[in-house]
Amino acid sequence: MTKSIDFTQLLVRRLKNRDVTALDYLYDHYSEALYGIIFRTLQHKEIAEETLHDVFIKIWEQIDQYDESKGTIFTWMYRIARNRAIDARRSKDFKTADKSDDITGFVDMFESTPSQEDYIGLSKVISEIGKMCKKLIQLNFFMGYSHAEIAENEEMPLGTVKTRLRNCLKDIKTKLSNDFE
Amino acid sequence: MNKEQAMNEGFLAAYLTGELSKEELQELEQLIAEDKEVKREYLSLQKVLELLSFQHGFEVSDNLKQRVMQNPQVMKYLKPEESTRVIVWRFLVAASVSLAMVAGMTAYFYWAEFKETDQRLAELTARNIELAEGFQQVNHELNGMRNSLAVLVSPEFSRIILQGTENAEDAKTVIYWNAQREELYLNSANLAALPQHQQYQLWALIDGKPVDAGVFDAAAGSFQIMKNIAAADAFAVTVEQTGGAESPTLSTMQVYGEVKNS
Repeated sequence: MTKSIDFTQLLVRRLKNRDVTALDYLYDHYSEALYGIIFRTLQHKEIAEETLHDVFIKIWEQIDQYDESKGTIFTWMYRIARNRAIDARRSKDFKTADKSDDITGFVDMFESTPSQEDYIGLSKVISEIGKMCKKLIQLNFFMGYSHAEIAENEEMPLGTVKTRLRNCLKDIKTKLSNDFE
Repeated sequence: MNKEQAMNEGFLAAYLTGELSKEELQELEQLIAEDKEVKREYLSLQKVLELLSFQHGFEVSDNLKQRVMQNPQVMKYLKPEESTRVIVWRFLVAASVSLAMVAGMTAYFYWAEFKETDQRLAELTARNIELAEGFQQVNHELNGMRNSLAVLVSPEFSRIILQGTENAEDAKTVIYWNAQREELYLNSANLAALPQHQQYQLWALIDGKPVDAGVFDAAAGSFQIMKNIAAADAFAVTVEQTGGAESPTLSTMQVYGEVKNS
């Protein structure tokens, strides 16, 4: 298979060549997933959309810093989106929009209907991982709360938050294991 | 940080969100680069996060994409003659099409390659079955010949030549008979082919009384196993209706030979 090219590799190469059409594709493919993270972190439509806009411009401007050996393109974009959203939540504008950055308004997102067809049975796996796992994953990965913030809010030692998060992800991975490797 | 810590203490999950200290980050990145197991674990955690994110995305307002694509940071990479609004979008549509085509071609390439491989596999499998069947056949024939040869060279078999009668002067049939083991073989090579409703029948004659020794066809070069016969003074072959008769139609006798008493 020497002739084969990984599609995401091709996409990254084109982004690095400043190919606008690649950004077009990137937006179509990833905007909803990234927006889910940003919106859950901010709980405010206008600010979340403004943040998503900034995230895509940042991805476009900083694509040369993306190093394929250090993770997938999604992981790289995910970090940018999460950090941008956290920054926005801490900003003055956000506070004047009558929002706070305390852990409030936790709504279990896994209770809502998935935005995509669930071909691999992810919803079923999620329903099996336990309430605490679901909450920790959402707070940390989808709502932009740090380990320390979660530890305080959940009255749990910091180390426990970290290892539990890791175990929760691993649990999902194991339950989905047919789709890995 | 050692490997066990990296794998079990949540460093990989914290790496996903970017919540590592500078030292932790360096140590973990080194471990990922050096250890396949850590790398694999990191890769599967990334995949879980991606799956969850994709499954729980949110719809974005339609006009946001336009704002991203028309941001000066993006626009400046479009060629100048394409930078009027209408042309930009036409270009982007065309570009999307071209990207889709790349994707399509990639998919087609894999599909074609898969199909070709699949077909080759089917061909090879068929060929393999053919060879195996051929081998089986040859093996079967070889075993048959081995048995025939064993009969031919065995001192326990007497060879009796049945000579043609008036009905078939040129005919000749050879039988091999082991009276002790009651085994009887016949080579029908020299007999004429018969119409479909007729078969040859071999008779063993004991004290002038005929005993059925089996029916056969005049297959070229074949060495046929006949019925078990313990005693005989002579052998004869007649032409009978397919399936054989209870008693020989003597008028059709083709070959006849007496057993030499040794």
